[in-house]
Amino acid sequence: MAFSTFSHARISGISVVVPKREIRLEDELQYFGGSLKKVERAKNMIGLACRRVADEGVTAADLCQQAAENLCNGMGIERSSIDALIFISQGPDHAIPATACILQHKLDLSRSCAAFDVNQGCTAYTYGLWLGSSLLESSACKRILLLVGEAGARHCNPANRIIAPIFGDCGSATLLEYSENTVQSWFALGTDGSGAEALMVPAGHARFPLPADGAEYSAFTKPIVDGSNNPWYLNSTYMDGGAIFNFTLSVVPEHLKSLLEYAKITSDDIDWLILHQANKQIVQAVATKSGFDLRKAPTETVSKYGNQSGASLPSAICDQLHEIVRNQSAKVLLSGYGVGLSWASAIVTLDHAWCSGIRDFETQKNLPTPKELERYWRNKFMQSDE
Amino acid sequence: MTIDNFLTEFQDLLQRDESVSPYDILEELEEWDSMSMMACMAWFDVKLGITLPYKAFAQQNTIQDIIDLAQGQIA
Repeated sequence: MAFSTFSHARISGISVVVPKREIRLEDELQYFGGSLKKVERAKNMIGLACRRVADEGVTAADLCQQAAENLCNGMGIERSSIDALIFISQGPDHAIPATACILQHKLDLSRSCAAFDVNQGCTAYTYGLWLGSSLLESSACKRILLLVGEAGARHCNPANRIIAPIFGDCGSATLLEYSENTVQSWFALGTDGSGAEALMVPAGHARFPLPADGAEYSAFTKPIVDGSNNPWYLNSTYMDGGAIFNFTLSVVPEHLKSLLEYAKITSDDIDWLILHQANKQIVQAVATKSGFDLRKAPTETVSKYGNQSGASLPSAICDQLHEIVRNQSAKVLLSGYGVGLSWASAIVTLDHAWCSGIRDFETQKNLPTPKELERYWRNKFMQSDE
Repeated sequence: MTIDNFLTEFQDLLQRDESVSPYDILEELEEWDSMSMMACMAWFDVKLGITLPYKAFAQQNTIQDIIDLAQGQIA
């Protein structure tokens, strides 16, 4: 496992936005055989109650951009002082270029700012903190903007009752700064790619292209119905929930114990255990098996906003700890685990950091429709001919 | 843990109003779904220290079969 210690990387501010559109479990009775009793049972067992889903045309980059605007404006950050922009998502705006490059321009950051994307899911936030802290500690940067977000909930196959009611959208922005004072943080990261197929979009990229108009692929665009009459598409998210749960219980508690040992502290020294908000059942099982008091491991964020993938950690901080983060100092163990299979955890101190809480996304009025985008590119191609 | 205590725990894990018996066939219980299988899996792991894959629970026929997975800790 990759262990790291940093001494001068500080989390100075965190901002989170979520779409305004709220979908309650009761609104999706079709996933529960039309039974309100089953909805109540799901709420009790896995803690899902509501989720926020972005409108058509809104991307993870849009959500992150607004979170970054809120952060920069709220903290009074001079944008030219940002040395690097890291965008982590599984939903970039385009195959090329990196979404971070587009965001550098939209956020009016300096041309001397480094900007790059990372593809990670549930571990996105802890990976971003680790990467950002490494850049700060190496003196490559003094100030880094970390953007982590997802807006894929509306793309989940709506007929699939395993995937469709789980995910929520979110954009986050975190400011990492070099601190002259000592600010200790510890990280541990791990990977097991042998389990990659447990959570995967099988087709639609280089390994298995699925062009909509390719006749040779037409058979692959039809749903494949499983034994429980649940339809799956090759170019939509597949999840083997049992395998993911199995992985989480067998790997994450031991991983958390090894990080605590590496940092030479115990669970008693940790004020808050913020676990990836996959669902309440997983959070409570991991916390209990890791020897943490459940009162230190909040689960309410997944109830209110759904599983927000990599953005669930900053979302849980902004949702559950914003007053503490603003006004006090807290030692927090953050842990992400899932798609990859990947796991990454950090012990950080959040000390009087700027924290926005969770704000609603203000949808831009001028979001282009697919038709407008097609017209825009058609004109651009035609001009290239001249 | 006694079998009676486990049956009460199991009923609670399933969030089921009616009581259960070792002879109940899992497939016939409306609440025996992926959520309760995962709840059961977590309970075995945390309470009994027995780590079993999800499939181990999914493949069982009766509640007695689940009890048998406890390797004598439920008797």
